Amino acid sequence: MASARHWPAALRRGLVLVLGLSALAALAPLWLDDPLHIDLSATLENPSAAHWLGTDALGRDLTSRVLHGGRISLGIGVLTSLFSLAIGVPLGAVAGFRGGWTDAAVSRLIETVACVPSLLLAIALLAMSPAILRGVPDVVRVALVLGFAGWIPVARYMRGEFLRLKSAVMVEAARASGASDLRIMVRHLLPAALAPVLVTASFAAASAILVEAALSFLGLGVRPPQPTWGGLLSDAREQIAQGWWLAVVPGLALFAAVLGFNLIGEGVRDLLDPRTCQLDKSGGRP
Amino acid sequence: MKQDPRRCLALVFVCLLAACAPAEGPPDAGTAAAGERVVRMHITQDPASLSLIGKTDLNAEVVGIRLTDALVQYDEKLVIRPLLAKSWEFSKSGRSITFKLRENVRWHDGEPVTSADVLFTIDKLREPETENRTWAPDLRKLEKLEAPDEHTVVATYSELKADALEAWRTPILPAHVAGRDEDLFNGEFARQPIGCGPFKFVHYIRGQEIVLEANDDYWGGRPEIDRLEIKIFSDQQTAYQALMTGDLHIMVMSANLWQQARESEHAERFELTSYKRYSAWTLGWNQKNNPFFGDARVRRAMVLALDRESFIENVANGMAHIGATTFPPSSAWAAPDVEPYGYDPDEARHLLSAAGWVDADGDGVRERDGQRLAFTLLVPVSTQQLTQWMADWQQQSWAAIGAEVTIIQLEWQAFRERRKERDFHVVAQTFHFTDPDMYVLYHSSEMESGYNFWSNDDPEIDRLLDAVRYTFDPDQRLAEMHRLQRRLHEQEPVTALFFFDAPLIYDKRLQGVRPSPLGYANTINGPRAWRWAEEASP
Amino acid sequence: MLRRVAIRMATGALTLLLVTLLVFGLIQLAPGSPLATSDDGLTPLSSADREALEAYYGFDQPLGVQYASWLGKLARGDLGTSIRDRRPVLDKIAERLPVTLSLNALALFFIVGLSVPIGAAAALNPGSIADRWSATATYLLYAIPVFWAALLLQRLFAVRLGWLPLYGSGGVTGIPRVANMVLPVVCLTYGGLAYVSRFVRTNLIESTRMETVLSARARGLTRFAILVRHGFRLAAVPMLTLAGFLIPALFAGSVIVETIFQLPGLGWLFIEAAYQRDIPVLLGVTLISGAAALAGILFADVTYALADPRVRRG
Repeated sequence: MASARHWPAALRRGLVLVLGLSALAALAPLWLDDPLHIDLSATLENPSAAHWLGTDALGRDLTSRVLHGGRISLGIGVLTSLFSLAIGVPLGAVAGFRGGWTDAAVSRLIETVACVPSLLLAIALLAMSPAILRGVPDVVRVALVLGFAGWIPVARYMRGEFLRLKSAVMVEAARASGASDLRIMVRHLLPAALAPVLVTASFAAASAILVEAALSFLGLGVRPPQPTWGGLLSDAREQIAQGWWLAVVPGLALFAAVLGFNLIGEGVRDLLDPRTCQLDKSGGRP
Repeated sequence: MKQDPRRCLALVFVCLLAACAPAEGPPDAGTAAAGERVVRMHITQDPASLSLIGKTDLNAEVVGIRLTDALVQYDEKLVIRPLLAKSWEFSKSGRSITFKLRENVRWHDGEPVTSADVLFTIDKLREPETENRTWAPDLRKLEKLEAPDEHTVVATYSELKADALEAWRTPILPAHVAGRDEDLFNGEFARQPIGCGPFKFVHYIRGQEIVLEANDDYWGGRPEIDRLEIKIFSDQQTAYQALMTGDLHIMVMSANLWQQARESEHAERFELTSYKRYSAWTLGWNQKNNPFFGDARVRRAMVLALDRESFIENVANGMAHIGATTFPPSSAWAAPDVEPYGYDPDEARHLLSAAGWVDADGDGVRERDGQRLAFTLLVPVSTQQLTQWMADWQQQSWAAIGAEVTIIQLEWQAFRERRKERDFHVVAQTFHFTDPDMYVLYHSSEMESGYNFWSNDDPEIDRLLDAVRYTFDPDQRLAEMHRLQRRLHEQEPVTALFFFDAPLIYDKRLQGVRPSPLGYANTINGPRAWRWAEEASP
Repeated sequence: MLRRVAIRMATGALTLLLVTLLVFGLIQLAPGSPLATSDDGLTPLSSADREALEAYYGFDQPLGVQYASWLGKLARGDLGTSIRDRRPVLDKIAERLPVTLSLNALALFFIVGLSVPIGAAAALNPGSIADRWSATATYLLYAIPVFWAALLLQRLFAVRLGWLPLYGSGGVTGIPRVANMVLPVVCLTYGGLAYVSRFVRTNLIESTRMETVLSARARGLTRFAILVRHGFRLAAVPMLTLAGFLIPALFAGSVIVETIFQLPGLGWLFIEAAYQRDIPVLLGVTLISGAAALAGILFADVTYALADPRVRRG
C-alpha cells in the first residue's frame, strides 16, 4: 500500500470523520457533564456558555448526550458490522466459490431472508431477545439482533467477489497442485478478498448505524436512559416547534458517521481497484 | 432492445398510476349545505366496527352515544342520569334492578323501542365473539334478564355491586335490524347503523370521517346543530392544523401543543382551557418477589424522593396535579383529609435507614443483609416521550436517596406479558377510572390472576374494598371510601404519581361545551347540547 | 430461456411460502398474543370467554394446523380475517395498496428520471467538475437518515412556512393528494440518487468504450450523440436489472416513510399489525410485499440473463 498521502481523497476524509467522531465520543466522559443528569430548573434552554448546545426537556446537557450517544451508536455500528461479517462472509464465500448446489441453497436462503420485511424481523427478534439473552449488555444484544438481520448484503457481495476470484489464474494453479477447496479459499483467496471484506464492513457499519437509529426512533433499541442518536431525534419530535437544536445536532452526528463509513468503504474500494467501480449485479452497497 | 428503456418505464408508471385512480367515493360530502350548522370534532382511530357494541373502545363510544341511547348515562360529574330508562328500582332483596323504559321512543326508522331490544342487546353483548370489553365484564354476574312487558326490564344478578348501573350505559340496538345479521361486525347494521339517539347516521368513509345529522324526532328535543362530522386524525399535529383552518372546531391536545397554540397568532379565535381527568400515571410496587417493597416504609420513601411539583411545572407545563391515592383528587370521592406526600428526600432517607437499608460501603447504594437496594422499573414503550422522561426522572431521584434503578422499557405486548407474570419490581402505567370501585386493583383475591399485579394483601383494605363495592347508601359508601383512602395512603401499595389534565381548545363561538373526566363527548351532554353563538355558523 | 424463467418462478413461489412460514414462526415467538387486543382492560377475560374466543379464531389448534389452514384459505384466494376489526384482510390490503404503490412508483420514477441525466452528465466528461460535484452531492444525500430528513423538512415546509401539510393523506381515499405526497416522495427518493446515478455513469462509460462505439467515434459522431444513440441502448439492460433490485429496497424504505408521514399504506398497516399481533394481516402483507420483492429480483435475474449471451443461448 502506498503511503497515506496517496490514498484516495474519499478514504482520507472518511477516516477523518469516523476517527474524529470516535475520539470525541470516547473522550466524552472525561470532559463533559453527566448526560443523564436531570435538572428540572433548566429545561429546554437555548445554546449558551454553560450548555454549548442547550438542554433538552429534562434539562440534560445536549452536547454531552450527543457525544455519549455516539459511543453507543458507533459501538453498535461496528459490532453489528462484525456480526454481519461473521455470518455473511463465510456463507457468501462458500456460495460463490463452490457454486452448484451450495450456491443454490445459499442463494435461496438469502432470498428468503431478504423477502422477510426486515423491520418485522428486527422487532420480533428485539422483543424476544431480552428473554433469550438475559445478562447480555444491551449494546451487544442489539448488535447481535441487527447483525442477524443485516448479513444479506454482505453475503451477496462476498458471493459476487468469490465468483469473480474463482476464475483467477492462481486458483487454477493451486488446484493443479491438488489443494483442497478450503485450503484454496483460505490461503489464496481470502487475502485477495480482504479488501472487499473491508469495503463491505464499512458499508455494513454505516447501514447498521442507520437501522439502530431508526429502531431507537421507534423506541425499540437500546434501553433508556442511555442516549442514542435515534432516541434523541425521537425526543425532538415532540418539540418540533421549539428547540430546533434538538433535531439538528443528533441528526448531524448521524449524518457525519454514516458519511464517514461510506467514504471509507468507497475509498478502500478505489484504493484497491483502480478501474472505476465495477458495480456488478450482487451490489455491495446496502 | 430497440426501444428506449426509459420510455418503457415511464409507460409502466403511467399505467400503474392510472390503475390506482382514487375510488369513486360519495359526492363531496365534506361541505355542508349553506346555512347548515355544522360542528367538526375528531377521534384518533377508526372504531373497530360501527356495530356500536362490538370491540368498543373510547372512540367507538363517542359515536355510539350520539347514535343511540342507553338505559342510563353519565353526566359531566359522572352521576348516573336516566335516559332510555325513565326510572329504576333496586329490589328489596338487593339482587335485582327493575327498569321502566320511556314510552313513545322510536328508532330512526320509526319502529318503537321496546324491552325486546334491550334483551337482544344485552344477550348479544355477553357473547364472547362480540368481544365487548367495556360493559360486558360488569354484566358477568347477571343471572336473569326478563321483560314482563314492553316497557319494563328486570335484571337479576347473583351478586349486585353499588356501581351496577354503570354497565347499563351500553348503547341499545334495534333487535329488528341488528338481529337479522349473522355477523355483527360485517353485517347490514354495522354498515348502516340506526339507533334512537339525538343523531342519525349519514355516512362513514374509513380513515376519514363519520358524519351524523340531527334527529328531528328525538324524544329529548332536537339538537341545536344540524350536522356532526367526526373526523379521524391519528396524529394531533394534523388535527391541530385542521383546527387552524376550520376543518375542526374542538380538540384535546398534549401540553406542549397547547403551549404552542397559546402563543400562536390565532389564539384569540379559540377558547383555551383544560379539564381534569380521572386518569392516573401510577407506580405499582411488587410486594412479593423482592426484599424491597414488602415494607410500606420503603414504598413511602420512594414517593417522598420525587419532586412531583417541579416535574409538573417544568416538564408537563403545569398540566397535571398530584394524587394521594388512586382516587382522583378532583372527584367527589376524594377524601379531603388525605394529603399527598410531598417532596422530602431527607424523610425518605430516614425511612430507608429505619427499614434497615444503609449505605455501609459508601458506594452510594444502600444495602441490607448483603443485598443491594437495586431494583428494576418496568415501563411500556409509548409514542409519548413523557413516559420515558418520567422513568428517567424517577431513576435519578431514587439514585439520590441511595437506590440503584434499571429501567426496562418494553413494547406494549411484551410489557403486558411481563406484568401478567408478575415479573417486575415496580411497574409504571396509566389507569382510567370511571367509578370508585378499586376492588380489582387491591383485593387479595385478585392477586393470582386479576389486576392486583403487585400482590397487595391487606385484610383491612380487603374489608374496605368489599364495603365500597356493596354499600348502596351513598353517605355510608362515601365514609367507607374515605376510610379506604386513609388506609391506602398509609400502605401505599400503588402510588398515583400524577393525574394529567387534558388541555382543550375549541372555537370561541361554540357554546355548550361541558367536558367531563371522560372527555368532552362521552357523556349525556356533548354534541347534543352544543350550539353556535348567535347563529354565527362558520 | 423460457424454461429458465419457469424454473425461477417455481423456486420463487417456494421461497415465498418459506417466507410466510418464517414470519408465522417469528410472530409465535414474540411475546404477547393476538387475543391481547381483546384482553385489555381492568377485568381480564374469563377463562370461559377466552376459550370461546380461541376456538372462534382457531388459536386452540396446534401451530401446524393453523398454518396449514391459512394455506388452504390462500389456495381459495381468501387471505383470512383481521383480528382487530374482523374485516377481510384482502379488503384492508386493497385499500392501502394504492398509497404504497403510488408512493413507490413515484419514487422509482424520480430516482431513475433524475439519476439518468445526472449520471449521463457525469459520464460525458469523466473527472470533470460536473462529475465530481454530482458525485459529492448525491453521496452526501445518501448519508442523511430518512427520519432526520423528514423531521427537518416537516419543520421547514409544514410548520415554519406552512406550504405543505404535515401528515396524512389529505382526506381522500386511494391515492393521497399531491401536496401530501411531496415530502414523502422526496424522502424516499433522495437516498437512491447516489447509487443509481453512479451506476448509470459507470455503465455509460463502460459501454462507450466498446467496439461498436469506437467505430462510431471513428465515423466522427460527437460524444453526446454516441451517448444517446448507443450508450443508453447498451446500458439499458443493467439499468433494468438495477430497477429490479430497487423495488424491494423501496418497499422496505416506504415502511418508515409511511409511518413517519402517517400515510395509510401497506407499510404502516404492517407495523400496526406487528404491534397488535394481528397474524392474518401480517401474513397477508408479507405475502404481498414478498411477492413484489421476488418479482423485482426475478425481473433483475431475467434481464441480466438476457444481457449475458452465454446464458441466452443455454
